[in-house]
Amino acid sequence: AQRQPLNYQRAESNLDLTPEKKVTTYNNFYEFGTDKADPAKHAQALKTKPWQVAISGEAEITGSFNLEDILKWNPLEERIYRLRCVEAWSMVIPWIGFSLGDMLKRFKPTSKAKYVVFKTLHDPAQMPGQRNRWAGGGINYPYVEGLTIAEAMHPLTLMAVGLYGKTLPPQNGAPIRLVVPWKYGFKSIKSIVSIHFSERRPRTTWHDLAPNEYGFFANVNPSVAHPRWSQASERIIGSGGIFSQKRRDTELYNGYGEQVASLYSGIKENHFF
Amino acid sequence: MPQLITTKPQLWALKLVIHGACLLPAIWLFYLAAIDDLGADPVKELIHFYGIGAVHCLFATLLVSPLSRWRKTPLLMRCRRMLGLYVAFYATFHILCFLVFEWQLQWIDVIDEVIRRPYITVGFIAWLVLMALTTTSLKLIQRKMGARWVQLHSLVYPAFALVLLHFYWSQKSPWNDALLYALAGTLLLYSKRKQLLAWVRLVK
Repeated sequence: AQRQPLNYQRAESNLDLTPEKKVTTYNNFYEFGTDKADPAKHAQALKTKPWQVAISGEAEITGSFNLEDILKWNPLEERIYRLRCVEAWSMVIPWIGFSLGDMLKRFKPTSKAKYVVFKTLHDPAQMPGQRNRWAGGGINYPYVEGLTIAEAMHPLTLMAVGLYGKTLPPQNGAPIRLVVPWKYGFKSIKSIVSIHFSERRPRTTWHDLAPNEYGFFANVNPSVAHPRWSQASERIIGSGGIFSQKRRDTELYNGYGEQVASLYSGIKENHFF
Repeated sequence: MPQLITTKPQLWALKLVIHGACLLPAIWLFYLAAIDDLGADPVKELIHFYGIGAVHCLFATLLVSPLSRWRKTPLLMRCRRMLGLYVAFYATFHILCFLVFEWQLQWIDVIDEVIRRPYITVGFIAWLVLMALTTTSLKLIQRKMGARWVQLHSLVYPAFALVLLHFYWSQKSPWNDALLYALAGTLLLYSKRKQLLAWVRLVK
């Protein structure tokens, strides 16, 4: 897939970026296979044009929108975010996109809209993992993720359409994906075709598959271990081979606590995961 | 049914092939991981490669005796110890990579993981058993231990079961290759049920 250069407002950051090659070849996108190298191998033919996103549920404006039009609503900006996977590794990625909240406000969600539910494309013809349970890791597709309306409206929550200056490659969730930097990576759903405003909390994919391992909130928290491994520290996927590896201590809310901790002041469940 | 190998030189040739098949990939992948040419996460790749390598060698080791009986080739049995030692070799590198590259020699954290993560505990116990078998694999020790040596080395079967459990348990999602390995391993253990039952009685 050919990636197009984007026009965007550049960002400054003192974080060490993960090399582009690693960002685009180390992906969890089970629709294209469960090995992290699979998506880069099997996703290249994904058809991302034309692309529509269906808006539904508790909002005044609903319907189907062309991605080209959605892209005209807000200027693109670069956001350099830490990404922390629930598997205890991390990257730093220069995303390009716009704030999800700015997009959602256009649809005028009603007071009943307590949650925002996202769905990934369901197209077994294009996605081998959806054709075959072995290839897809036994997940029920389509992949579904959700946020509370407050999380969705938070200025850090990004709808990304690019990385490293160009449009997203398919393996990273082209053409449009979510990025929620204070949550484990599986919350940041890829290749979105549907956004639904809901009154009730949705059933989400990984939480449904293993509720004791993956919570609905899934906020990065070093003091809450995954049942099978510690979350206290993380291995940095950076440049260099096995002799130049680094670990770092995992930060609460992945280091974005100052901005987002207030979202959870009344919610006990969050302390678990 | 013809024998697979009948002469000493054939046995040596076979051993050479096994050495090559076990050592060359282990060295080559380490080299690729060192120069950052083994995927985006060379640490994970290397750990998985050595882990699965140990599983493959373990299957090969346990298949030697049925194969030699089936093809009436007693000479084959002379490869078994060597294959068993490669199981220990791969398993040890699997653990060393976890300790040195994944955890940067943070001993306290590693000990914590071994104790608190069941799938790691299970793998570690299997490795301890393999080490017991390795250190008693010299012919001299074998002769001295006599019947007790056979009892001790039958621990390879429970270790095998623990390895397969460790492999399956380490996976994030329920449907994966490790399930196929566990299935094949169950079949293999089932085919050896008579020896296993005899051994259980002996230990009791």
